[in-house]
Amino acid sequence: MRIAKSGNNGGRRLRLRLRTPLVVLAAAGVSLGTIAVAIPASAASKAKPVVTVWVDSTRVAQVKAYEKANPGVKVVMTVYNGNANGSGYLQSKISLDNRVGAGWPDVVFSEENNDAASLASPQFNYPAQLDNGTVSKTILNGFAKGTLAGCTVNGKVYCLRNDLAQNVLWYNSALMTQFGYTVPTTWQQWQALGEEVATQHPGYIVGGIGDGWDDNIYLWPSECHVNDVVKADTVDINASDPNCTRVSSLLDPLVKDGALTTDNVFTSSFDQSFTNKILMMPGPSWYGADLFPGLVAKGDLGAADPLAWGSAPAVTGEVGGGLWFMSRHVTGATKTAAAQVLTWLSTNYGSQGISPGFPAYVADEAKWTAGQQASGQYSTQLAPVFAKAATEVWSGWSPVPWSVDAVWGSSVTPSINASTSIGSLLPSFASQLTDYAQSDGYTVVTKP
Amino acid sequence: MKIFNRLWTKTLGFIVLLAFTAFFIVPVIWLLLAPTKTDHQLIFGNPFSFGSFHNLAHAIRVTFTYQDYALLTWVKNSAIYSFGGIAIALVASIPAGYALAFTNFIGRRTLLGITLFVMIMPATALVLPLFLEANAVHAIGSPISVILPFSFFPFGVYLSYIFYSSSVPRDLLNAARIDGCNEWNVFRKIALPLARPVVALVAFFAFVANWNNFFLPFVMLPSNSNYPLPIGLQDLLSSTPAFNPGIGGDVPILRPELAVATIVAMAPVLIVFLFAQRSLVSGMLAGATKE
Amino acid sequence: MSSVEVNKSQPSPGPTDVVSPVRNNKEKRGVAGYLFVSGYFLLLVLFGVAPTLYALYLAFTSSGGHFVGLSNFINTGKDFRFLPAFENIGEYLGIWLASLIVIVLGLALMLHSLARRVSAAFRFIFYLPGALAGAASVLVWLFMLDPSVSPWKFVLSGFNFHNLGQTIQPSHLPLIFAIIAFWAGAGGWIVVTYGALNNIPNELLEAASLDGAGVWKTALRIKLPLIKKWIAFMLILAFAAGTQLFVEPTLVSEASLGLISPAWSPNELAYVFAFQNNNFQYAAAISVDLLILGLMCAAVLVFRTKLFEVE
Repeated sequence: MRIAKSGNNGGRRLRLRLRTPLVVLAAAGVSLGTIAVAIPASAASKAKPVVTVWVDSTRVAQVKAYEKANPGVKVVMTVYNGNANGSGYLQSKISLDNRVGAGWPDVVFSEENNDAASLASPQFNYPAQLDNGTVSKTILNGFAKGTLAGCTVNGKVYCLRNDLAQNVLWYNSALMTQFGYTVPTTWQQWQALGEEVATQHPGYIVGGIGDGWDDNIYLWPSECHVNDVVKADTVDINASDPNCTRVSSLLDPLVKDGALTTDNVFTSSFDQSFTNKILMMPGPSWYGADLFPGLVAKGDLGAADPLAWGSAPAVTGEVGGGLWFMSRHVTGATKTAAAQVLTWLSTNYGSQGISPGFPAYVADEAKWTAGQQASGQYSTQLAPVFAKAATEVWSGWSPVPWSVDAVWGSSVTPSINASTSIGSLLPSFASQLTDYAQSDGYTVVTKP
Repeated sequence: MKIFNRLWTKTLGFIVLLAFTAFFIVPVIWLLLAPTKTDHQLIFGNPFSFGSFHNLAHAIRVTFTYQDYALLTWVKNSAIYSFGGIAIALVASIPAGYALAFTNFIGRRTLLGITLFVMIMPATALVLPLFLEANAVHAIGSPISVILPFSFFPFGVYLSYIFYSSSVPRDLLNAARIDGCNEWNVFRKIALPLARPVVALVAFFAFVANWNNFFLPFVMLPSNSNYPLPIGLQDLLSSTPAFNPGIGGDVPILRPELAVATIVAMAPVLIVFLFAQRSLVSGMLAGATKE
Repeated sequence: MSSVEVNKSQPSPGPTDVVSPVRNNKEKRGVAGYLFVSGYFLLLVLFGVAPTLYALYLAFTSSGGHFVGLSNFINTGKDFRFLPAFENIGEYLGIWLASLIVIVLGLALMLHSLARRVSAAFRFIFYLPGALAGAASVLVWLFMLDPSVSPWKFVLSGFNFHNLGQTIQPSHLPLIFAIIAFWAGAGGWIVVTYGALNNIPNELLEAASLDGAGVWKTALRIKLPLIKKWIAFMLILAFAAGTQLFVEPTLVSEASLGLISPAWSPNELAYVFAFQNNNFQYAAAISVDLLILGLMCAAVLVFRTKLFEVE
């Protein structure tokens, strides 16, 4: 047997050349890693308490403002995704930290409305109760009426609100004048107007129903009970209640006419179809700064009081709004400092003034709204509308550990898109919510 | 008739290749063109239009300066973790594959079986135990908590095993043994040089797996300065209004900027691929043995 | 080959023991074998076996650590999301496996018959999407799936889809996820298969063509059987990866702002149990279900292709 030696030497030399850089880089990587381990944990000065804060990229500015105004506390900030879009980032981290008994953030911001119920549940047991003296009653009472309901689980307050997302009725004042319409004050008027628009001005819309959060825009203000926590671990889910069916009767004709679009408002196809064609749209306060620029000409955007059902007092819903939590695992001086950080970030104008969302803390509202007004985007005065709507959010839509929006978005919205009537989808919506509730250990009741 | 058949087969083959080329490459072309357009142009313009160099420069600048050049930190971290992982993975996997193919030790098949078993186990279930292990040695937050698990690369062991067992004849190695080589030299002087294609393949796949791994760094690394690219990209995504509508603020990350970050994440993988491709040559064993 | 066997057992003339040189060589090889796998073995135990055993332990115990038999499996099986998730995976797997095997093998064979530079160019193009993983491709697929902005506009409008929501209707999802997974994954497998084909000795191929075998015959009768082990390996991993689908549904859910169920696939359901409900026991039970599926496929292929045997 012969062994051909010809190809081998060249091959080996090339092979060595390929591997040497890798080995060098690997050595560099390992030694850098060793150095990182060898550096001792940052030696915090004994006098200054250290508070770890987790925020999303938008709140970074607020934390930095805190640091500037409060040099007596050392803040270690980590930027993460804000627990947005149901990512469960916080739940994952906290659950792992619970296993090893360390690593929790002292103060954390979350965009996810359900987090109060989820994190306060026995499985995660993360946030500190705030209404037991940790945060003063004066401060707690300084939030707009009813807004802390989104932070209240089983009667205890577990977080502070950063901002609100109260629903109002947005409209294009130039178009309304051009078409000769008056701004409706009730849902029935809005629907009638929508039907008129569908025949007289096809292609223009009075609202959207293609998003995963539309249940908050249409069902919540109607006091439809789909996640009403009536007592500890007991939830009322009843989608055949007249409060719910009147909504589907209201919306189905409009979807058929095209006055209510099934396009998701944040997608490109919506932009292409409806730029300058949005006559009206019920939606949260943050639509003003985050959705409408570009879709509604500057200076034409007006906000009116949320629609009411007939002569009943108006209630509205909410789509989002941020939450600030404090860990229950902090003690001593760090606990005091963390409470102070928490309070400052959610109430001090130094923080709320630069927040892009409507402040939940009443004292900051007027100034913030004035700042928004100055952008020239709006044709009406936002302040009275926003402030009033902030107090009208119906408290029967409770924070729960499962995501109602996820169910609406993944099963109802696609079916609406496939031309199924909303009325026929309500029962399965309710039954899925029931499944989720029971899977999370809640008892489901169906109150008439 | 035969010539017609050949022509027909060749034309069909050509069309099929072209169709698949389009399938694979069209989204990538879109991606490469995206940073040259504004967010508005992405929505209202033609998908294949070229925007302007001005837009491109703006998008690149915004993406790189985001959060104090976070993108560069992510790239640096990813490189450290990936290359660290590959180096150890190669040292462990190639000899292991060789041994599984050529040395008949007790437990050889069991080892192959266990390796396959562990490869098939869903990673979701392994996250917690890995975290607990790392925590037990106080490695949470250190690059080693990521690099060491990365170097466990059973896929590479199998690549090496299958390569050796199907492409390298035993005679070759036996000849070396007869000539007096000890086992180590047989491996080092004969088997290893022949394995250049598979070393390149294993290194490449190990690199890609490490570079794109989200789960492990997510669990092991709590602070921003340690984030690799996949976690950084998630962060960027959640700072983009199109993917996180409530995000608000003056956050300048729009879709063109996201496209820049995506391209930055892609590029090193492709560069490593080009290097690895060079080793996928044919006929290494031509004339090596004679039956 | 039999002459080779005779040669192998000839005693080495080197300076070794006079007594039973054959047995001594085999022993030496055995010891060397252990040494060669030792590094990998250590990593396997630390990062493969130990976590897997822990996961198995979780699957059969309660959160308090008590042994509960099959109750985790039964409870997860009764969960309202369990069956739909497995139905989804079933549909997905059919499309995914078929396209992977047929198209990957087909393309690799085609590339193998092309000139080296040309085939290298194609391999690079086919691999390009593989460099985009997870979060990186969310942006791309948001645009590809939205008929109003997609380069594939004409295809999507042909199916009467006019917005993103219509494209990602629940009934379309298995196909869409298969397309995305194939787009991202095929390139890597094409590279591996091509590498395998390349290691077929040229003499065999030359002999076949001298015998008059055409392109198809050479491919089916000669090339494919010779890379049988690679194909088996690819099938095992593709099946396991298919049953453990996670990235694609999560990706499209992010792109569409939440229009896909967070527990569309069983692996996603396991993730939900682990991280939304803090129930690692249920997550482990579902993971074991998926493991068993993957092992069944692996067992069939390992025995049929004698994957663990060496000549």
